[in-house]
Amino acid sequence: MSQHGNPPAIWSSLLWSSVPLLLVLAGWEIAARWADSSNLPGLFAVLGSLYEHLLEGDMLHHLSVTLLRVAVSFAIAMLLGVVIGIVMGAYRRLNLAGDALLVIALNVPALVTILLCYIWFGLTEAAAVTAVAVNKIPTVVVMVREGARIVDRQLLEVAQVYRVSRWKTFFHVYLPQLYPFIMAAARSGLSLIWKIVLVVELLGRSDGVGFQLGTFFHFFDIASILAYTLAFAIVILLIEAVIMRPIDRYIARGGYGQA
Amino acid sequence: MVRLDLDLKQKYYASAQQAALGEINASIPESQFVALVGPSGTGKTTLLNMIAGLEPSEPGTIKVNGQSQAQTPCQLGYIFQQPRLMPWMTVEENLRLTAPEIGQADIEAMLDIVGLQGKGAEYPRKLSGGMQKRVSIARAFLAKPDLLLLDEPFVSLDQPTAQHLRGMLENLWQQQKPTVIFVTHDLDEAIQLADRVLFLSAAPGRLILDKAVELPRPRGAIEVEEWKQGLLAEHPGVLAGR
Repeated sequence: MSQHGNPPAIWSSLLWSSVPLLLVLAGWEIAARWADSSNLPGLFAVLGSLYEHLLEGDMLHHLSVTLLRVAVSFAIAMLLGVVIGIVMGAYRRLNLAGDALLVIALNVPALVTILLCYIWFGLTEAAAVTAVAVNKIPTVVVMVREGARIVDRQLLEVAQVYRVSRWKTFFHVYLPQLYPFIMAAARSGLSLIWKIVLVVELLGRSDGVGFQLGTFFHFFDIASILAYTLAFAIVILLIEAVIMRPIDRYIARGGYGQA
Repeated sequence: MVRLDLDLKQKYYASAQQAALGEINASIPESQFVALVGPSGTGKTTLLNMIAGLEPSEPGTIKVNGQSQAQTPCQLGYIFQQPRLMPWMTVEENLRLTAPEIGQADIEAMLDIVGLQGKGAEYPRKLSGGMQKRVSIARAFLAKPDLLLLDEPFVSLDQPTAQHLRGMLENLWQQQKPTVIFVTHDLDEAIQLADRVLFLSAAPGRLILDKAVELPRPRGAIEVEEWKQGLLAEHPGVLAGR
């Protein structure tokens, strides 16, 4: 049995990954008791607030709205970023033509893009999603372009010699070599998109986690801010465990990109 | 099976001052097994790549059954120096990629022939170099090639493995009878396998000797050695490309 599949190994890795988290939570509780201030509510107060928002409030609604925005803007950013990255990596002249624009796009502050999208397209859902996607696309392009530059031409020659169709060559020979780069772009992209979506919601939407955090801020409701943050962290950990890590393991097992 | 007519002129790479390949004129009849022997850097791989359509043959021409390559697309098999298997695909998936219409029974039969029975679900990284080479041979023959190109396929293998694979290659060629162009440094290997050996000069490689090997098959080591000594006595500088 493999190391990952061995039950004692699973418990051991679970223990090692949960100990630092438990220490932070314990430190938080100790600091809250020591400070004895409404600006730093204790762990149990936050858990109580979380329970209240979950059962009696509309936390699930706001979480799902934010998740939907994250999913849509993530999908758009990945799709366009991968296509542009492949084209720039494969065609030297197009890369030269687009490189300066890419550097500018990478360095434009997210806030500027968000404000401009809201000004140009109005305070709409489309403007919010566009602002988030536009912020993420350049980083996806850069990562995928690097992968496309080092694609193993020898494997493409095999497909050419044996007359493998263009479609099949792209999806079975070319794209698998980019999977590790696409995966790295997806992981870093997701963490960036979460943060930008909250800002977008704070500035111009009337629902979502970002909007709620803004409202709690106006009322100095620190327990609710921390409760939403905690809920958000749990969702991120779940996505990491249920989606990202299995895909990572699949890519590592299949030897993608190890041409 | 195809007849191949090579009429190649001196070829330069854009980035190099020295020619990559010299003039080569040769006609290779259907189903003939031709070995191409010459010193390093004479353009043997360039020649195979031109025949495979991976590099342009201009200013020369390569004709397949009397017509240009583009007009007569034939089924190719190419066994490269490195096995060039897709590392993210199992052995079976690698074979299916290049021969999608082949059935499961044919794949298993071919894996049996190349001594890889039960290895269809393995990834290439789990196989030894010799096993990977067998997969690339299986891939080439499953494509049922009219023209089979081999670029020093046994160069990095130990002698017993290489000898076993040579026998396997000869058997498969006798079953399917594709036209074969086999690039090698090893004259013994060329004599053992080929109907005809073409010798190239030192760079840029041009044809300096065209010799038929009229020995009955299968050829033993002693016959091969005798034939080689006779050839070297007659053409002492041929292996050095002179």
